[in-house]
Amino acid sequence: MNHVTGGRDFCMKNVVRPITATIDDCVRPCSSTESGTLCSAAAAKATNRRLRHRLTLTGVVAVALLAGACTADPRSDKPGGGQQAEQQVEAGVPPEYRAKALAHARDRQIDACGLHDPAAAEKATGDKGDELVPGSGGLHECDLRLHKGEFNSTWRFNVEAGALFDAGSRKSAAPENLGGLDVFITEGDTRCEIAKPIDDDYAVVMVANAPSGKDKPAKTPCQVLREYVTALAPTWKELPKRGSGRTTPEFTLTRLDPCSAAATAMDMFAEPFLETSNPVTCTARSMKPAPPQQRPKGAGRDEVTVSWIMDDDPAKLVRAGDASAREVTIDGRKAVLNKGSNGCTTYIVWDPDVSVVEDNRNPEDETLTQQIRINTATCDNAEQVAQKIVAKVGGK
Amino acid sequence: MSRRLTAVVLAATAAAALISGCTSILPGTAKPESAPSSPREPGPNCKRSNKPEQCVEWVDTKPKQGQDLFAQSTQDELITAHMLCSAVPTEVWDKLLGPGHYRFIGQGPTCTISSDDNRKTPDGKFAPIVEVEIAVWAKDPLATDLAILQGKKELAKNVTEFTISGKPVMRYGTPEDADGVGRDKEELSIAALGDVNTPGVLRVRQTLRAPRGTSYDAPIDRAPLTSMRDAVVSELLKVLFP
Repeated sequence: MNHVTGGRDFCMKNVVRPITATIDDCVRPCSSTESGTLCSAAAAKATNRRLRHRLTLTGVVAVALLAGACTADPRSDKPGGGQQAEQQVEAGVPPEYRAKALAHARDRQIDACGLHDPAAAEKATGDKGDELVPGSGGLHECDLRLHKGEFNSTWRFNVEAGALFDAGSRKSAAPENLGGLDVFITEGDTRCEIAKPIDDDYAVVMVANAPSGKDKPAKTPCQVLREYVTALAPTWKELPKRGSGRTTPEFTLTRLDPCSAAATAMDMFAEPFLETSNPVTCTARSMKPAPPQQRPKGAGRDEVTVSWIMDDDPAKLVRAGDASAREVTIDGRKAVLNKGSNGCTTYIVWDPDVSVVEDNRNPEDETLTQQIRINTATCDNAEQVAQKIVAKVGGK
Repeated sequence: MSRRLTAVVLAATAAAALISGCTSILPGTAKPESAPSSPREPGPNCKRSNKPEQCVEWVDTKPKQGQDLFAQSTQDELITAHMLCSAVPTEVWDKLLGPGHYRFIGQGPTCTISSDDNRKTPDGKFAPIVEVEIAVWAKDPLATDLAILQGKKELAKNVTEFTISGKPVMRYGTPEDADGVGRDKEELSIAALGDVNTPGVLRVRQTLRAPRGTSYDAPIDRAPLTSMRDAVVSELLKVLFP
């Protein structure tokens, strides 16, 4: 929280900058922008490769150019829309889950943080942008937090690309048109949810969470979110894609299919199959799983789940005198195996050179990196599972 | 889980499960009979259902009555569902559910009739939605359900018995089903032939959902649900089990 000391009102802390950058680098406005646009990604790319990033949206001019590029992109927004997408589904995904896997593969390419516009959120709330970071659920989510000042957080907007939103969801939510965009709204006392369908079953879903505490905000969550999404409508009409440059750094892990990683564990199971549960998560399991009561104490489900996430240094889990977590190196990558009360979780740091600073959860800067998270029933074979996955998708 | 307990649990949820078509108790499924080579485009009413891909558009079908209807249900549950949907005429549903209601066959042997979920109140807000789901169960008498549910203290407290149009009725409902929050239900099992020991049960579930766009914990006024209960069951009994 000490890094921002002034500059333009729209400046957020999560700005791409080299590790040696000064505060001025952070607050340097892009030219002629009112969009919540921060520093140029191009400038950052030109610096040392070893960057300590803060996530940013690039300039409005760049966005306009990228929107054009998006239009020209052959990827279809409809499920099963293209031979290329069809080929992306792992062979281990059975026919009944292929449509879901295709939709998740398509939605994994949506730049979740690019669905935000900090300046528009500032305008809708009257507060200042604080941070823009991938959500805790995985790299298909992104949180935009606002504040009134240091240690005075206010609104939080969470967006999920590729959330399940089927006919039942549409029936429960209220249809509305915001800025030419057909959306569905669900209103609560302290939160509001707006879904923009991508197809019949999936949507971009944004949730606004009102500030807690005694100071009641002047607007309801849905008043704020309607304003925000109306401003976002031009961006959401052509959903921004990863690698387009709308945000930096790019999270390259999302170029990979988590089912490709999970497929390496299929030989552990009888009658194995793969199933995605969101755009960045895939599970390998057996068609004939053992009953829960036959599991040893402390063991999780007999399956292997692989997710692409953003998290802080997993080495923090390792503590002296506590054997539940241990650090290992897998093909040169830092990894931590953490035994829990219900299975084992392995974290593998994907690229330590690309990180995002998240400083809202800790007085000290928290540096988040892309990580592969692997959930296994026990830690007994977790390292071997991790080795096979890294060997398959690592590509070092 | 013991067989006995399994039976109790099944019975406790029987009314809900059977009329929702989500149980494996009943054999067979009401699959559409279109060509399997291409996905079927849902009809206008099925598009408004929760699962359009499993839904069948209602076709007006002259209903059978009494034992003939139960016999029909053991032979072809889809046709039976069409009959249940056809039992009460549009003008009666207009009075009970309001204009714009629509009917469809959800997954399984169940007819669903929903009020218009796009209907708005005079102040321009979406109105609450009422759904009526109807099914028949030919194999067991109502007494079987009653014996199982009343045999367990924790389930028995959710059971009430009364009569509608002279027919024995069992209502099963948890406190959450009638708390006036989010979604309330009335799950009714009726000894349609007049005797709780005679096989053949008519099941009716009425659900009141909060207006579109409101959260799951929004307060709702369940008065319409209670007030229409006797009318719905009486109309169905009048046509199907005179």
